[in-house]
Amino acid sequence: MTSDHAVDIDKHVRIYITVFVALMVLTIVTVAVSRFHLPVPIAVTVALLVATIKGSLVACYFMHLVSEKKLIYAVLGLTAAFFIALLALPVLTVHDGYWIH
Amino acid sequence: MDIPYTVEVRRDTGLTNGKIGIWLFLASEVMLFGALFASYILIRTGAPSWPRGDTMLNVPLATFNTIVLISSSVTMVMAWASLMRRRFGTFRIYMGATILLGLVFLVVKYFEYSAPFPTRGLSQHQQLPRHLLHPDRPARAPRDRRDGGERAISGVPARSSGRRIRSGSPTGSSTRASSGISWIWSGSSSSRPCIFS
Repeated sequence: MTSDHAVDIDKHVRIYITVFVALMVLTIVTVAVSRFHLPVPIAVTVALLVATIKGSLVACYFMHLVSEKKLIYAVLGLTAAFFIALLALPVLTVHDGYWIH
Repeated sequence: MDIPYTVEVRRDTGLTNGKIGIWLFLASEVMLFGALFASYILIRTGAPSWPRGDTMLNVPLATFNTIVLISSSVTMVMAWASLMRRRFGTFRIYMGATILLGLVFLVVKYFEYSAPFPTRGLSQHQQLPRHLLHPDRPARAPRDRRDGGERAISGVPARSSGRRIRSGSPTGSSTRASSGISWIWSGSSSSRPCIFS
């Protein structure tokens, strides 16, 4: 194992510990926000925002997405597009303010 | 026949087939959960009211499980780092910790999901039908005006009956019993259009 390689792994480990601390802090934030009894739209927005940040940290650093090849980004981009389309499907069930039978 | 490019990198993609395969698997998982989220949005937006999560779920237990999940992610990447450093003893410790944390996660999930669904303090609109709360018990047929069977909870007719029955819903309106599961979370108003009918 070369010294450069060892330094590189040490850098990775430092990042992992930093991300771990960030995830713990964000988990505490999520639980703390639930105790404030905010209005539902605000509570849902905050919860989704924190969950997005946590998910991004895990994907980028724990799953090494920050240093992946273009093909992986293309696969995930396509998945994201279909995921958004899937979540938008419930909108199509609304017509003139009534639920479709 | 051996699967090609499991260790060596393909020139055209710059990746091993194993790495592409695991990301494709994760993409399929995203779509699986996307279907579940879409269903959740559909049901929640169609419900007349929705209870707050912290009144129905065990927040301390869920917090503990989240910490377990995050810790298992860290021990996994630390196991990877140990392998890269060729420290096999440390790798075994981190990998064992990951497996142990995974098992702890499953055990906590077992207790979380097998706990009785709390209904105390909720209005009749917010409570699930009895047969969903207690799937092991058979649904009761309405006996009299005071006991509307599942109607008393769901606010709409029980599917076991096809006759016109007196309403036990808070609004006091009478409706015709219908088949199917259209009454789940559809509220007390019989004139309200239902997404499942």
